[in-house]
Amino acid sequence: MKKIILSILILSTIFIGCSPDLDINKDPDLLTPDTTPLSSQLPAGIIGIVGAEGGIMSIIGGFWSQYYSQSSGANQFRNIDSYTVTTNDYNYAWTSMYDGLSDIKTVQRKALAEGNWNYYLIATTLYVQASQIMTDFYGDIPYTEACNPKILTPKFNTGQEVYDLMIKDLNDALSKNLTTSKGIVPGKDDFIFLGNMENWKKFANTLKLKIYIRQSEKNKAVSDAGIAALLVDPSVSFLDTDAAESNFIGSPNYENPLFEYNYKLNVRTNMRMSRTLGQYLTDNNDPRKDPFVYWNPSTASPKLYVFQDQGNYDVNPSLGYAKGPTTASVPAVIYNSSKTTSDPAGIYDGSKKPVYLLSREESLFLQAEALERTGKSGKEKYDAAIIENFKKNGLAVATANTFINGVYAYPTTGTFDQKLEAIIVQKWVASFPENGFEAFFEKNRTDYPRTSLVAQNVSSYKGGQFAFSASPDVVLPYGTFPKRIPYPLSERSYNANTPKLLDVSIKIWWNK
Amino acid sequence: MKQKLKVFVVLFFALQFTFAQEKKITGTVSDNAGIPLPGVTVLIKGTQSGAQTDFDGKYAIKAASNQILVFSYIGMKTQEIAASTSVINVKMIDAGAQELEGVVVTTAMGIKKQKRSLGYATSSVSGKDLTDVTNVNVFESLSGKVAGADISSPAQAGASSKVVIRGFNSLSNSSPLYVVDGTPINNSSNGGGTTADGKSINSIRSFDAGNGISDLDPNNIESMSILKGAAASALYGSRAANGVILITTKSAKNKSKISIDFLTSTDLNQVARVPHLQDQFGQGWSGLSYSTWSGPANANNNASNENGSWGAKYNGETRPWGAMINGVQQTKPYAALPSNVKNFYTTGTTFTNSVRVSGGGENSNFSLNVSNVNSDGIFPTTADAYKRNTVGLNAGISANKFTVKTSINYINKDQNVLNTGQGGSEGGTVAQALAQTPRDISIIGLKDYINNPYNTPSDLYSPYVDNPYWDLQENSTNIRGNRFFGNVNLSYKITDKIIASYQVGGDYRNEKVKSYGAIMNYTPLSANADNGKAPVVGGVTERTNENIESDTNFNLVYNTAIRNDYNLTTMVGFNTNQRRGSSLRASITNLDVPNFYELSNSILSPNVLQDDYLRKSYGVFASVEASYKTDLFVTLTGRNDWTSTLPQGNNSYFYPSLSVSGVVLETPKHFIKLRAGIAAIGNDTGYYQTYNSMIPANAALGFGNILLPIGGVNGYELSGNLGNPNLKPERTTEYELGFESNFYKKRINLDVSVYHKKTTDLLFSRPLAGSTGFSSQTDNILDLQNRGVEIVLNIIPVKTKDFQWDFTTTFTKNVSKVLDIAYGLDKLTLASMYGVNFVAEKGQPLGMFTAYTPKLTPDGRPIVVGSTGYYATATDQSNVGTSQRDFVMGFRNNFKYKNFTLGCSVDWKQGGQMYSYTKRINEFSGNGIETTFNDRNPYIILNSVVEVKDATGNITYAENTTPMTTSKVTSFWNTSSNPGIEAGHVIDKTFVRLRDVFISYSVPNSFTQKLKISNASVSLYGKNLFMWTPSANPYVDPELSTYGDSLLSEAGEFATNPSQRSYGASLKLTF
Repeated sequence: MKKIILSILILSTIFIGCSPDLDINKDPDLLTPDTTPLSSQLPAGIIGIVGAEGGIMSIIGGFWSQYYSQSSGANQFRNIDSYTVTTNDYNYAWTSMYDGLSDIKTVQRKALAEGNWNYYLIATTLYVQASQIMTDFYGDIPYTEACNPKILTPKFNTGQEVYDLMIKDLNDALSKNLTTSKGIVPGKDDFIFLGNMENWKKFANTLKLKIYIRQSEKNKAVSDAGIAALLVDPSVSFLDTDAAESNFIGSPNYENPLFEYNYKLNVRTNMRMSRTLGQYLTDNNDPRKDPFVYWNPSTASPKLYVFQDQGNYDVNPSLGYAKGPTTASVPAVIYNSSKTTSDPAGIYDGSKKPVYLLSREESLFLQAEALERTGKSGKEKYDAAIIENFKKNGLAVATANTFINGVYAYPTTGTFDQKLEAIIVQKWVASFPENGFEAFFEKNRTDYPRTSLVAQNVSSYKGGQFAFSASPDVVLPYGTFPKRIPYPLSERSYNANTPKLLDVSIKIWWNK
Repeated sequence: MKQKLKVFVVLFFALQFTFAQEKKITGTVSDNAGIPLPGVTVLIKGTQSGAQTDFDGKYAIKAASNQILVFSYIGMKTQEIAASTSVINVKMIDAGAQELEGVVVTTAMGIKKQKRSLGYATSSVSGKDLTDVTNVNVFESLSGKVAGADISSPAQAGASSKVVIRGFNSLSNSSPLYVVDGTPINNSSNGGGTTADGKSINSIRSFDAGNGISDLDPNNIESMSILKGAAASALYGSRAANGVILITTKSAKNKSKISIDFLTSTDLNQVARVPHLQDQFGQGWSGLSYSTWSGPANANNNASNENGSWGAKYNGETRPWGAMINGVQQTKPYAALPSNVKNFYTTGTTFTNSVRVSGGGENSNFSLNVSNVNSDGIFPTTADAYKRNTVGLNAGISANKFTVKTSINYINKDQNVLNTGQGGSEGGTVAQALAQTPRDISIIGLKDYINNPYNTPSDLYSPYVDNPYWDLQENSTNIRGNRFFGNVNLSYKITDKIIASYQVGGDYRNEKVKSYGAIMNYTPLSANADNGKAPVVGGVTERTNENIESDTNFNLVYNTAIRNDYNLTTMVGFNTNQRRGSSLRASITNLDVPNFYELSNSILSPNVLQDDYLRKSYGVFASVEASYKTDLFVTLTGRNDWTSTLPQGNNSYFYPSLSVSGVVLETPKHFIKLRAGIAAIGNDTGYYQTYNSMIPANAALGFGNILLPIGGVNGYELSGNLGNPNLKPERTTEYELGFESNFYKKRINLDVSVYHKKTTDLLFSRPLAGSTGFSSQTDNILDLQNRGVEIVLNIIPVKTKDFQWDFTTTFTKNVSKVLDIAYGLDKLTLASMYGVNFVAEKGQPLGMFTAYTPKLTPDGRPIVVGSTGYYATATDQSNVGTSQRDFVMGFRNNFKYKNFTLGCSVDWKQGGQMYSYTKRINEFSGNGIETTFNDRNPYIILNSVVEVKDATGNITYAENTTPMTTSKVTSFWNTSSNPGIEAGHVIDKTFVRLRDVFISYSVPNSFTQKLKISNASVSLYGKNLFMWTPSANPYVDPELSTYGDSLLSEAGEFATNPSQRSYGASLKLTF
């Protein structure tokens, strides 16, 4: 008997132990990373970073650059408007960006291994573009060790390191001879330039320019040298088109991320036009007010614009605020979902609006500043940038011309600071609606647009000056603006390398 | 089918009997104290003909005088008496404690053992325990009745039950292994309380359509054995980590007469717990009962459009309210409607009918049970209707040495469930709508949203809330399921000492889920169009799930006496198990044609998700039981498993167990047995966790998504779940000690167990830092300890001829402790609900709550922000409670007086906290009682101070002088303004519940026999009659979770639906 038992045991052990039968643990429904072509992973990476930049980052950036204020009839973004974003809020700003970057990083890694310099340049440029936003919002971030499946607690690079590495990485990718690139050639999977590699080189160079310019205050020598080198290099040209994803078809899940985000909220009109931008446009009779601000074509004639004081979503007796108007105007980008009789071309249709990673006008403004910093005139670039932005908003070049010859005229004879103010203020307006974070960073770097000394409910308030939030929920001392987003809890909990939390009012390193 | 019929015909003929020269014999059977014994079996020897004594111990039987009557009764010596006279009175004699302890229980692998031989604790539940009150779910009335198990009953018919045995040992799947007639069944749920991958909670739109065990028909269950510790369940290997529940369905014996059992019952269902809300303040916000809107719908600016009760105090005046339509506005008194929410619910019904036919021939037996449940719950309409048909067949045939048995169960169900959670693209939920309805607005008044324009989405009184009737009727989820499980068992007696048995079984489960939400559009210029309310685009999701489990078991049992008094039983066997499934899910949004809910009805292409899986495992096991007399038993078992879900080469693991049982005292009156066991047990992980994969690209925005293909370009992204090639099985080592005793002829019975178990390398889909680019990875992440004690005390305080009182109490206490977390982490977030996290923290019980709490001064005074008067919050989250209960107790009384039985059971679960979104939302909307603090008059937060920083950065504190003004009180309860109150949503989940009360009357035999009925009883009962919760919880039934049935369910609830209370009556007949 015992023999029988023993032999059954032994037999079955041998049978099972050697059985290939159990090697079945790969999901039959899914591709593996090895069998996915670069051209199938790149689009995933692009929508990842475009979704994060065009969605939540543009919302935080748009509030803090005072395009938007929280509606008094809803709740969603109170903590942004009152500068009380905590480590538990908007964690997806961080995670969704890295989610996209992880696919871009994989493309970059594979392209490097295969010698596919086209994809290598594309992936490197995208990686740097997104990383700069991350480091400018958060400070120190994982850069070298991020998005590596072998490193589950990436170390953080300091902001300065990230800046140096971004330049190094761009230089490396730009140094490759694209004519020797191996493997597949990017085409329609390249949502940004449809495979136009010359544009990618320009984009990479423009990013380098932006990286140098951002260091102008804290790292002036490096900044000046870098800018000068770029300007004198005959092989370098800058972006003269938009680096943008513009294939949104305007239906849910396939539409502009800022529109999609708001559309999926219970109340779509949390974001209202802030007085800061609104009054600036009004005071200057800027016709971009129409494309920027939604109005109901069937009811409001003449057009009715109501701007809300920044942060005035609730009563705040200490600043003398009653609750903000429930009728405050809504930015068109989140509301105009279909063509209307007043907008037959659908120019204001937020659902199809592109997301700009770096717009043509931003490139021109950067060049204008660079020229001024190297002793040349930025007027031509400045004017071209304003014209470009007017055109984008459906306005005639002639209209733009009246402004660059009028209220927005370049202070050709002014001081450097006056010219810088003109450039940065116009860049602030032109970054509306989705690139508010860019304006926020530039405000931190240059202190332009200026900060108002009075609250917006005071009659001497001047449009276009940043006002301290009227929110009753502000915790920061009056006049102390937010400078950064706190690290998300998800990173702090699972990555012991996360630096200690800094107060939301502590400046990013390049901010003087 | 034809062949099956033939079998029945044969069986039927085999059961025909002839009766010759018979006479009627009557008599009374009593125990040795002279008390009449009901239920004594009286059989004519050598036949299947027999009778039972009635309540008065009387019996009547027809027999020939040369025949012999056999009187048998559990715990008594069987007596044989010749049928020579027409009156035979019998006095049964106690069999003594030894035989009393001869209770047989089903243990691992279906092996029946004497209870006295077990070196570990088991609990048994009889079929009667499940049917004293008519239940739809097996676990409906077992809460508090099984020591060592924390059982949560389902909230309504068709919902899931939760059984946690000796604490949580596993982070992902913590339900026990259910084995029905020897074959494991699938207990997964498809409710969406957790995300599709089961790894994180879903607060958007969830439902509870039950778990696998909910399909079982309690009326067809003979008994349940609950194997609690590792020593009891080690033979089941990797799937037994959370205990095993062995369920035996009803079967018949060979040589038994055909009998028919019939049960019918009707229950009336009412809502049990609705939130207790304030009745002082009505619609409004920040103290104002008016809001100013734009547009013609509020031309007079005289009404509020808020979704909360933050208006002024009621004054009874007649006021306009809601939107103005064509210049006309509704009016109503500004007064409280205290029963508003309660009145929304209606009385539902549950009808249960069950018929069982059973009997046995010379060498065969069968039992066929057919049941039907037709229930409609407490929500108006059939939005929560549940229909279930079950068929269960148990049959066996034996030849000399050969026995074939089969157990087959078929279930068909059609279920409507009401979604819980916050609501999503397929529409809002009723719970969410009710919690935001101002207290003065009549909910039932909103019923007609088709003909009454003020109730339509366009002109409903507020843009911020849905009409609950709309959510009820226009947003629906339906589940239709077909399921077939069972097995065939062949056993062969090779010699007298060796029995071989082979069992093939399986569980085929197919479910189709259809869920949809209606379009909500707003007429231009209507109130809600003017308020910018986001249109609801509508959507449909259709899903089919198919799960097929097959399980084969072979074993050889060898039983021999070695020498006098020494006995040896050996078993070896092997097991193969395969689980395969596929799920296909397609959903569309943006419905084209309203009220047409098919996948074709959208201009957008459907989003399709496919999930096929296959997993296999093999196991080899052996056990040796040695015994000395009937006093000492030693059992040694071992099992080795190989699984496909762990990395190849590292997927084999072995579990040994040793248990000892010794009888130390045994007299006719008293009995004590000691037991001890030690065992190791393991657990593998889910399928497809070892490799990386690519998934269709999706950029999640926080709200909304960007999907591919776009512009004709498709794309794939790395799955957020990072593969782990280094996984190990989780291992549990458990020590168990206990004793079983009874005194004074079983008038007092006490069973006590203590255990200590340590689980290492717990597998968990741990969240990864975002900067890795991945969101999670299954890994061996945690070491955990569970210690506990479980006690059952049964006392029979009174036992007389006519009256008996049985009292049973159970006590269960489990203390868990997280010993270590991998990667040097102190804390692991398991789930997040707004500002509250559910975490595993080193050194703490598993499942703690953390939140941002008000910042305190060193001497404990709350610090507020000077400018706002709201709490300043600490930089980091701190612990605000544990989900671990202090203890669970059950009390059960049974009073038997003549033919009447009165039973009642109470369960008491003490301590522990839960997250309650219902509380959060009712505070937000100003409906919660606590929001009326200080009558909403201005106050300064008690004891609060403000921080004062001097020039050198030194911090001092000054008294806070910023009051919560009437207008600010609203925002005080809004976590966006005042995040410091977030921790307040974690509440005490203690409760005491009158679980059920029943009274049943069993009709005397003398009467039933006239009707040719052998047994008849009628019962009246009530279920979930009363529940007490501490004042911290006026909101919800703390046993409700919207997060499934695993550890995450302990996190709490997110806009749950209420539980129900039932009153019913049943009639049981046996022919």
